[in-house]
Amino acid sequence: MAKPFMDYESIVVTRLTYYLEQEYSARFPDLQVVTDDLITRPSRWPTVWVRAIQNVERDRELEGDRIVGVTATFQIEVYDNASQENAKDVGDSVTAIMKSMAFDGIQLPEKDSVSSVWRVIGRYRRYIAADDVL
Amino acid sequence: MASGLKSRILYRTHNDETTNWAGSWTMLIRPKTLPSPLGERNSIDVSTLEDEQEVTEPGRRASVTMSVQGAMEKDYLDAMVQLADTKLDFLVLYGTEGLGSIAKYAFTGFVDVNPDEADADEHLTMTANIAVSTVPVKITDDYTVTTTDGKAFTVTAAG
Repeated sequence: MAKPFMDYESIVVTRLTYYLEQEYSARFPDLQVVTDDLITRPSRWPTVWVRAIQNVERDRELEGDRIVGVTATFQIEVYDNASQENAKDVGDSVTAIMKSMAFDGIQLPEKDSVSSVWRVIGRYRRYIAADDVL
Repeated sequence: MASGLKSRILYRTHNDETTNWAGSWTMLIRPKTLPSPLGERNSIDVSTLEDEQEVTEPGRRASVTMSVQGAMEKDYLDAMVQLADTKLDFLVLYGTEGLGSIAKYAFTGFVDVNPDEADADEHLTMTANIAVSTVPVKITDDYTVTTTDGKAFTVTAAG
């Protein structure tokens, strides 16, 4: 029986973690990338919250016994307790990393500053075929 | 009634004894759609000046090139390139068990393959263009098809 193809969510999270640590280890030593359920108030700052929100199978074959491709969508939110600029700066880096994997980005205009928590939100989507290399 | 899932097209190198479709067959491509191997039958106008409207009798079917689109995969693509200009037998199977329980059509022809347009939001596809060189015959109840892996098939005459 054919299994679903690659665990691309793990690849995305691993890449984000690696490259954000590379870029911000000195400036934001507490930066973390999490995939937990919805955060009310992160314990470390900045926090990058990654959520795979949609995974739609596409391009079905007559054989119908394997997943040929999916349209994958991630929502990634960056939280910071110091400034909106920090959150935006990390968010821009997130977008660059996602673009390196050919995701199309939508930076949502929503900004929160509730209880001194600043947040930027981005959604990233791309078609992923079974043998694609991210 | 059945869906089109597991409708398949198989091939083998042409057997001179074209009325015997038994033997070993291989899947040509994993299709996304499978066009008909039969052309549309035309009509011949047989009306006379006495008829108040044109009347027709059945003519013959139009020639067919089956353009079968499927996933572009190296193994299938390489095999089809090797088969260019080789006379082949084809077997089209209809039925969701993948063995032609609804219908089986056999014919002889040639295949040529081309990569399709590459698109960022779709997987790569290729199209096998099959020239149908003989009139497809329906052999649904005359032969039995078996397979173990869904790629190689054995066709035997029904007892």
